[in-house]
Amino acid sequence: MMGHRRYRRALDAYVDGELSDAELTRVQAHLAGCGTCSRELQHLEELRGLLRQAHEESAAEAAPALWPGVRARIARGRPPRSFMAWIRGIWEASWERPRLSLAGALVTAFLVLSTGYWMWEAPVVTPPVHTVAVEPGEEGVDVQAIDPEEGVSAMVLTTSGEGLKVIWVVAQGQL
Amino acid sequence: MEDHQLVERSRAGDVAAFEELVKRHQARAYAIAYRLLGNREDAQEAAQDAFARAYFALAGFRGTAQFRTWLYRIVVNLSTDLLRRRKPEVSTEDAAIQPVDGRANPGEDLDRRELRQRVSAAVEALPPDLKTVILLREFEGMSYAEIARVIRRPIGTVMSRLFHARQRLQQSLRMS
Repeated sequence: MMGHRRYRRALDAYVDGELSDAELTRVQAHLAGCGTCSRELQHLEELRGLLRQAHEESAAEAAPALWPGVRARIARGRPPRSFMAWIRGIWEASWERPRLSLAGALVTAFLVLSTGYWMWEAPVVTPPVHTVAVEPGEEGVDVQAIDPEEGVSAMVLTTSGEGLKVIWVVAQGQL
Repeated sequence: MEDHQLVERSRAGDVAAFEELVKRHQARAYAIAYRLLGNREDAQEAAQDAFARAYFALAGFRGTAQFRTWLYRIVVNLSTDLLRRRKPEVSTEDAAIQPVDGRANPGEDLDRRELRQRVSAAVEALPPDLKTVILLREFEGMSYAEIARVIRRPIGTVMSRLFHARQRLQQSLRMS
């Protein structure tokens, strides 16, 4: 049993002649006893009448000959596709090829799930740590202290032999 | 010769066959674009662009849909893209300056020309998605199934959009 709200929605299909015989019978029975829906039906039919009147002029609008313009476009070659047109092309192709779109969805789901699993399970790689003992003033060891801006100090230690560069930055008392 | 035969010939490089397809479908393709866009120049451009795009896309046309449905889809897509890029020129407020008393014969109360302009303004003010379904239904006389194929949405979406389009038009014209 349809509720009143659904009957209201069914009125569009009623005026458009899109109801099945069984639905038509139910809606007609409801209309016979429902003043609100009967008034709504009247409004819908009046709206359709107004729309048809309003577009009498456009209906009479004769189409110009399109072929010369079409031929010129064909002669110019295939127009470049915008990114949105490209996306739409894929979307529309999927409508005509439901099996292909299902396969695409499965592949996408597999990639998303396997990537997620890999990220979840991937071991955290800790880089190897080497301790190199150097002394400031030692040959090949250069230590520079610079103050790049107010409140920030930096110290750069460079060793030529180990190819090592260490930078300390101290900002507002924080290392 | 049937459309699908002309499509096959066009696909094989027979431009004359495609010209025949253009001549066969140009009236309705132009009418759809004209009703969506509201002026001759844009409608002509959109319809010609649609035919040209169809020509270049023939290789990918599988023929599961009718050529005309496929063509109308391209016309609708190009026209609604153009509509979305446009700034709205007419507001629903403009369309609702004077209420239409649907219970009386509105033609007796208002000049027919003014009435046409107001109803056209209300249609113009609809969002492109709603405008498309109301125009395909009311002026092109398409069934729900045909509209669904053109806009590539389920029939339920077509019904929902028609419902909302009519609701908005009634509110704009203050019929309810």
